[in-house]
Amino acid sequence: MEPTDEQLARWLESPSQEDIQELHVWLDKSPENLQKWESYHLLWQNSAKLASRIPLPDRGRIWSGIEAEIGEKKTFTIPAFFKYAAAAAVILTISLSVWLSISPKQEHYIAGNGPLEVWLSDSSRVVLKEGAELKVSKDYLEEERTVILEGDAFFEIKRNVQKPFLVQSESHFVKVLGTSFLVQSAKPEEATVSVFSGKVEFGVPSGQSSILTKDMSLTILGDQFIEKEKSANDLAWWTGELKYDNAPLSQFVADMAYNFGIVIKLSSDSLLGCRLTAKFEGLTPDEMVQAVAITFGSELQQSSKSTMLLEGGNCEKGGASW
Amino acid sequence: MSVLSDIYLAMALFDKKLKNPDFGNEKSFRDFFDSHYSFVYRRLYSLLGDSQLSEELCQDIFVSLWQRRFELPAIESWNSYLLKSATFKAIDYRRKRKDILKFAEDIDAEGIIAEVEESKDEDIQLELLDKEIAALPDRCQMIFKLSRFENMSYAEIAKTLDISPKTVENQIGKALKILRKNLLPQLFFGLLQIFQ
Repeated sequence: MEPTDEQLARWLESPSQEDIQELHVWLDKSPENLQKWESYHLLWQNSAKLASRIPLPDRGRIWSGIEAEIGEKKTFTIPAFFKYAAAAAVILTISLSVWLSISPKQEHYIAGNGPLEVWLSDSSRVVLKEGAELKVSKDYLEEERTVILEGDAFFEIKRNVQKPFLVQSESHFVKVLGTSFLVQSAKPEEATVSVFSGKVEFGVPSGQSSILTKDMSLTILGDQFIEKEKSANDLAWWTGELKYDNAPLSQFVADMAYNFGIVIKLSSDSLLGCRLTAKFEGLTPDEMVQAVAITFGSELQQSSKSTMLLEGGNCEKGGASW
Repeated sequence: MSVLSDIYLAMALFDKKLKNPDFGNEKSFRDFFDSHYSFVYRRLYSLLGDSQLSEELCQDIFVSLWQRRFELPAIESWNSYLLKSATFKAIDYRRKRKDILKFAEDIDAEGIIAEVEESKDEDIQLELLDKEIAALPDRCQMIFKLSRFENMSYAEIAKTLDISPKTVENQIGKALKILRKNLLPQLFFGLLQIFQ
């Protein structure tokens, strides 16, 4: 008679008093059982011996495979629609001239093709607009949190009272405790910061600066400080969302140019003053232009990859949600 | 080490302070890897018996860990978390490759049996045992290997695989009976040696 599977397993590993009694009863039943027991025991021991035959892994080879994988994760997939968290958000436009040579002590990120999302070591996030460059010191966070930006970028910065986050350039700086902001640099010596929430200090290194809070926007042009209306549409290159409430069509034209590099030409300048009320979500830039063309009854022609022509049309209709 | 990996290490270090993943007390992800890879590899090899495959799956585990570092729940014990990952990785791999593996093992076992009849030294006998273990039914095999190769108690195996201890005992017993049946000639020889 065979023992049950469970009995056999228990007899071989930490058997209870009861198990041992069962074993002895079974062994006493037949001399054949002793032979069986010896063979099970031998299998049990020999299989454990096999464990020592496991070859040693090649650490270097395994790691190099991992490094190759995670090294490529310098950029992250960007969600279709980024809902900027309530935490704190700022839009900042800075124009920077050449300010720093490349140093080996820096990480250098370049958004060559579309937006590039960069995570900093404190879980702060920077999204570079196409064409933007970001330099992050290797000792970021160790001493301070300073980065250098050329071009436009949106920052979402983790709050850290001990170490304020600083975006630096030759001509401007933005200092925050924890917030998110977009940096744009179209022209030299010009910078704009728009605050969605939170608080930032924005100024020039010579000393003049201004504290901005939620919904404030400030442009520094040379030594002039100019207040502007904050626009979430300046972030459409990342969010993919544009929203207009009775805005002139010229604003849409400007936004398409800024966010997507799409030049919209109008057959008649009178169309520029047309009022547009619309919300674009989940559309490609081309589809947005098509939607606007339909709205105003214009004919749409694509004259080149990035240039579109709106022909004809009038201002009669103007409200739409896409 | 490249600048890039240093940045990642810094990220891992920071994560430790503020949120998951807490890569132990290690200074960097590389350090974390260094102190954990060997038993991850070992577990994979124990269950799969293929060093190249085990190295690849070991990489997968660490890469996946890195990619999910912001989403991971709090990890109390990295050792048990990683061992569990490796166990499931191996089981999952076997499940997907079942047909192929089964076929390969059948052939191998037969070849070894023929070989062992000529030469009966212990190494070959262990080799034969190894092949027979590798030919056990999947579930049975995993549980048996965790016990014998990884020296885990039945309770530990049950916990890792989230099954009852009764099931573990059942599968261990089943494995032993299959092995004994298939290895009777070899066992007979082994027993003679013992009795001499």
